[in-house]
Amino acid sequence: METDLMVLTEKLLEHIPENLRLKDIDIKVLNDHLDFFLSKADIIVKDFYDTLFSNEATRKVFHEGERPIREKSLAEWVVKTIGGKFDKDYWAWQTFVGILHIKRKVTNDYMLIMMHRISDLVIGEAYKDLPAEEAAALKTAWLKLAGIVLSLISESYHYFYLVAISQTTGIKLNLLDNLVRVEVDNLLEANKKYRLT
Amino acid sequence: MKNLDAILQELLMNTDSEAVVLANSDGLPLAAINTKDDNRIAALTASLQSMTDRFVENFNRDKSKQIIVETEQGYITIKRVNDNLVLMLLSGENAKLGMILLYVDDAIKRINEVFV
Repeated sequence: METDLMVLTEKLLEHIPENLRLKDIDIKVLNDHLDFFLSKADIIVKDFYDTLFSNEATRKVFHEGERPIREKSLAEWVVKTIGGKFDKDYWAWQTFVGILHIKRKVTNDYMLIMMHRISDLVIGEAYKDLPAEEAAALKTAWLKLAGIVLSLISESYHYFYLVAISQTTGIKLNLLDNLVRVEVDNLLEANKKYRLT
Repeated sequence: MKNLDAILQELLMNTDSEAVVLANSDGLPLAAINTKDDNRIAALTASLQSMTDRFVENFNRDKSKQIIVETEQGYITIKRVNDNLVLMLLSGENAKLGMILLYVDDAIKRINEVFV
């Protein structure tokens, strides 16, 4: 059972098809637009938390008075990300976020929809402020980055959820997989009306 | 696996039991008699064994030797065969625990001989 974040992250990154990985040119595009992101950080952060707090289910994730702290964290994430090197440490950090999300009960559906919202904002602001060609390059780089971050966080969440169950109960991951397998056919059968022919 | 089936069949007869499954540590059935859903029972048997081992670890004890569940309808006995195999025997209300344990030990010895 792999619990070393660096090793696990490397394995997860191998799952990402070559053409969807960040290339040097994408990293350069992102790094070159640090000022753009800094100028938009307030808009992104405010919209992000306004959206989360506008919904009862997502609002529940936060403790009383926690919003300013989380706003600072998101702004830091944006700066560290865009100005970063996208090295092994960076990607391992994203894998770590998956574990944090388990702790905070930030389920993958919340995370996915909110990353989509950030992407929508970033791309919208890029096309508003930058020449079309530059905005297109930034869009490509950002969407690749967002895709990789989403892959790492969501898979890390799922994987470490199982690891926690496995370590608490002593049930090996292979056995957990088998337990799931004996039930999944029943779940498919119960919901077969949604199956495509 | 003809030998295994014979050993398990004999175990059933000698202990007046209803069903038996031999599972590996991943919860896959190697042999089973009279279980309605071999895959599910094998997976649950291996899980109970694993959970019990983890449970006793918390008290600095070695791995559990056996798990005996007493129900109104009789005993369910789960016993480690070796590091990779676990046996589950479902016995009826008339079955005697002493006989069950005796014959389970004998069956385990013979199963291990099959895998030598």
